[in-house]
Formats: sequence, C-alpha cells, structure tokens
Amino acid sequence: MTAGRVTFGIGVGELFRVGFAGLRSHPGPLLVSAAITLRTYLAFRIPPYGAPDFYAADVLSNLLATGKSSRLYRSLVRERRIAQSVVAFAFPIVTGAAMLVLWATARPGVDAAALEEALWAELREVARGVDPEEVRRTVTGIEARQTIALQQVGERADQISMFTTLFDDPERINTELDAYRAVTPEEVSRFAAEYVRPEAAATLTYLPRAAQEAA
Amino acid sequence: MSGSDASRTPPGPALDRSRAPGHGPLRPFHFPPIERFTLSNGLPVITAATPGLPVATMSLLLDAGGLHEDPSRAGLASLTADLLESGAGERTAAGIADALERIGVQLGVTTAWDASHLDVTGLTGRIPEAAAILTELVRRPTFPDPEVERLRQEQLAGILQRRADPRALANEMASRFIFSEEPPFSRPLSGSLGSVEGLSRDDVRDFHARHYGPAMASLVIAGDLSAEEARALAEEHFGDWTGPAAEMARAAVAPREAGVQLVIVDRPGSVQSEIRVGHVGVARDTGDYFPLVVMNTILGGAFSSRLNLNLRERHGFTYGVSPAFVMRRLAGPFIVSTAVQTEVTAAALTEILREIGGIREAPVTAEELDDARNLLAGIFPLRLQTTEGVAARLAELALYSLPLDYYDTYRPRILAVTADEVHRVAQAHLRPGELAVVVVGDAAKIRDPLEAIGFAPVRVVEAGGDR
Repeated sequence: MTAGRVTFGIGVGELFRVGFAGLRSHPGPLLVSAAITLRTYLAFRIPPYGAPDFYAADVLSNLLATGKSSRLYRSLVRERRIAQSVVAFAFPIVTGAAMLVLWATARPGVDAAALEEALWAELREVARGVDPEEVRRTVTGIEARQTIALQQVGERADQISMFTTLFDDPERINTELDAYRAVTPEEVSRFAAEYVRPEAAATLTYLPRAAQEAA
Repeated sequence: MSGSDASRTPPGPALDRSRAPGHGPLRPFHFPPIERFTLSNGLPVITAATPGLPVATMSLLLDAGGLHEDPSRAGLASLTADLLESGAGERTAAGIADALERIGVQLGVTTAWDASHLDVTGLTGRIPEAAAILTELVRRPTFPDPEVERLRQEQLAGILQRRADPRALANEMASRFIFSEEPPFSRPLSGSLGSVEGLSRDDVRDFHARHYGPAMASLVIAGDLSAEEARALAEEHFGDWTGPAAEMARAAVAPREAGVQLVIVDRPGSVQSEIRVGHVGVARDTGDYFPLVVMNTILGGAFSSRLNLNLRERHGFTYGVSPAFVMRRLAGPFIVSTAVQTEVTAAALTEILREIGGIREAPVTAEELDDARNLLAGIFPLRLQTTEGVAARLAELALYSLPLDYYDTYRPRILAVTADEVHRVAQAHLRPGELAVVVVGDAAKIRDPLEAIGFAPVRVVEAGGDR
C-alpha cells in the first residue's frame, strides 16, 4: 500500500464525544480514580501523519511541553505552579485522523476547572501567534534528539521499518527532518487556531478520590 | 522513493526459514580509546573518542550523593542537585533552560547514592557552549528562594506519589527491612516527608559549599572529539575551578536483623502482590564481580533464566521476575523483584526461595553457563552505542577506581568464569538464612497462606510503617 491510496475516513477537527456511562460532564467528562493527584487530558483529532499539518502539530506539541523553556512548563509548572508536570505529543497515525494529546498533572490543592482553564489560556495564546525564535529553538531540539536517537542500531531499525510500513519509503529516515525544518511560525499558530479549539476537544480529568469525596 | 518489488527480494539463495540461524562466533570489540589525566586544580578527567555521528556527552560526577548527606537531612543531595539549574550567576532558571534548548542540548541531573551527576548531550559543535553553562551551574548556583520552595514541594509530592505506587512502595519498604536502621541504605534516597519538610535554603547552600569542588568530582567526556579537543574543553571550563577539600565518611552497612523476616505491607483491595526478597549484598569493589554477574544471570537476569522459566513459563505467576545485586561504593542490596496475582503470592514466594536455594546446592549446567556468558559478552557492546552509554561506563571507571583497560578485558573475563566459581559465589553471596521478604498486598487475603509456608513469622505493617 502506498500513501497515495490512504483514505481519510473521519473528518478531522470534529467534536469528539466520549461516552463513558455514569460520568459527570463538568467541564469535561470526569473520572474518579485512586490516583493521588489531579490530571487533565485534552485530545484533538488532527490530519494524519505524513500530511504537512502533522508536522506543524508535532512542532506545536514540542513548543508547548518539551523542555523547561516550553510554554506549558514555563507557565503552569515554573511560574504559576499549578502543575507538577506537562506532556504533549502528536500521535502518528497514517489513516483517518491522527491525535494531538496533551495533559497536565496538577499540584496538590489545585482544582480541575483552574487546571483546565490554565491549559486553554496557553492554547489560545499560541493560536494568536508564536515567535520565530521559539519555533527555531523547538526545531533545533527535534533535530538534536533525532540525531542522538539514531546512534542506536535498534532505533535506526525501528525508524526504517516504520517508514517502510507506513509510507513504503525507508529513505524517509534521511529526509524526515526536512519536513520539520519547513514548518513556519505562521503554520504553527494557524494550526492551533484551526484544530486546537474547545469545540473539538476530548477532555478527560482524573480526580483524586479525596477531591471526589469532598465534592 | 518507493522501492520496486525486485529490490525487495534478498540476493543469494533462498533462506530456510524453518531453522533458526546460528549465532556464530563473537565479533571482536574494542572500547573506544580512553585518556585519563588530572587538571592542575586536581579534577580528574576521563575522555573517550567515539567518531561517527557528530554527538558528544559531558558528565560531571560529584561526591554529593545520598552517601554524602547527613541522614537527618535526607533528600538534601537530591534537592541541591535539582536546584543547580534554577539559577546560576546572572542566569535565571528560565534563562538556563532557554540557553540549553536554543542549542539543542539536553541536560540531565541525577542523584544516586554514590554521586550526583550532571550530563549534557548534544551535537558536538554545541558542546563548548554547553560546557560553559555546565560549569556555571556547578560553580555559581544562586538557589533562589522561590525555586527552593518549588522543588522542595515537588520532592514532597514525589514522596507521596511513590507511597501510592505499589512498586515504589515495595522497593522503599524492602530497603527498610533489609538494612539496619543505621544509615545509609534503610531510608529512601529522596528523603522522607519529615526530613524534606525540614530542608531550607541554608541547608542547600551549606551542602553545596561542602561537597561541590574539583577534589571531589570527576569530569567525563565521550563523543566525536579528539583527545586534544576534549582536554582543551576540560581545561578551559573547569581548570580554574576551586572548592572544598575532599571529605567522605564511609559508613558500614549492616542488616536490620540477624535472621529471616516476612513483612506484609497492607494494601487492602490490591489484586496483585509486589514481592521483594533480599538481603545485604556486596559493594562494587567485590573481587567476585564477574562470577557474581554470571551467577545472577543464570538465576534470573535473562528471559531463559531459572526464576523466569519457573515463575513465568512453568507456573504463569507473573510477566517477569528479576534478581539483582545492586553494587555501590558500599554494599547495596541483593534483591529479587516481582509482581504476582494475589492468589498465588505464597506459591510464588515458595518458588523464589526454592530457586535461591537451588543455585547454591549444585553447580550450574554447562549449557546454562555458556548461555549466560555468551549473552553478557554479546550484549556488552549494545550498551556502548551512544555517547551517553560510553560516558556512563567512563563514570564507573572514575567512581569505582577501575583500571583503564577494564572494559577491554570485560568480555574475556566474563567468558572465563567457570561453573565452580559460579557455585562458590552462589554459596558465599546468597544467604537464605538472612532473607527479608516484603510483600505489598492485601493482608487479609495473603497473610494465612504466607504464614503457612513456615518461612518466618508474618508481620503486617502499614505503608511507611516500621513495626
């Protein structure tokens, strides 16, 4: 199978409804767990791996939460101290829709609404625009991590196998970084405005048992 | 672009896929060339050149680990190391992160019992800039008050989270019951809620002033750099570093109790039991290192090892079970770790005890010995594919004062281990009469079956409890 024959079954960016029975829907579905800390996930359908916008999504996810100068880390963890950690990644799926997933694990005492609003405040901000220097730094990080990872034969085998399986193109291991280098700041903010919207978000919140009982 | 169908057919005769290919002889392997020298301020430096990809790692090891902190200030070594990137010289925490990420360099900060270390890895051309930042973090940290408080709170949150995680809890409680209450190893490396609550910025400044200096550190550089380039880098960024003189109190390590113990850490409602079985092991400088590594591999260090074949393949009790001799500057634990379904807790423990006894009783078979030696010799180069991997091995040379040809002799020494040596070290270093068993699980369900084994009287404690 070649990438040209892939069909996209599901419209991307549409509202994603999560249908767990018995969950409250305020502000997103809430799930009680025995976890000690509160954690909120936001997930979005995005264009599939291989589409130009996927690379914009991956750059966005790194810009948001990879490294200590990333936006969510800087704001939620370091400055506002409402989160202990933040994670974001673009999950590479080649058919249908891929996913952009991000989550924040709250510091003790922070409530779910405040955590979610803090995430959205940053997401609205990136949709307004990103600094070219910030995108350059993010892509530099992606390049360095890829070069460091390729020192390992296992990693090379994984990637060659992945590119062959997904795109019928093992050579892509040598050109994949070009797709990241081509991402512009305008594409990152345009992508955020288009796909990272509250109406398109699947929201999942893990509530610590103590908070649930107190509510 | 896409390969044609023809390019997919492997050249040569068709493969017989009904038979596994043989493994063939070991190919020769040489550790990258190593240089060791000392800067004029006393800082030892070890370098290894690994040409190929344009990547390099620089690590600074400091005698500022868990072994170096006052036990009443447990967690101070971790807090101090973690705070280094929170401000240094004129740089703020955000400024440091930004400066490193701008050049695509990854900084890792790790605190272990033997040392704390800072590692930077990146493209070789960026390593001089990274070294300039690294030396500032170590020599001129500012420890800003809000950052001290933020990281202290994170450390406390981490301690609470580990208590809720049965695996982490089992590890913590195993150390508590294996080792004597005297320092160092009975307590968690990152401290307790009580000790971390009490840590202040003054403690951090004092720990840094006493433990961060060239006489108590080693610098390691591995990567696509010549020995001369590495030496110039070390000299430029660390040659004028001054600091306190070396000090290191070496505590002794003792078991908590003379005989066997069986402790349940009660976690009502658990569907699994986390099992730990261990006793005081050996220090890294043991003369039995090579036969011990082979013995441990036969006992359980590989998929086809005795413990895994028994507990996983034969009985289906678990996905995996592994024993380890954790070797530090002082004797760390020998510990077997596994997780099993609640119903088979006692049966799994019985099998673990049987295997520990079994490898002491009779010499291992020639096939087991061969498999273990070949596995260890064969996978050894895989740990050296990355500059980080090479740097970690160089750090071992520095930490444990190993000779420079250590890694070139590693494979021959592994391959020379005999069945008699394996038998001897099993008898010397596995001591069933001193085992402490810690099980994190539902006491109401596992207490009676564990009692019925007759291994030791069962004690039930709470998470974090001591009696």
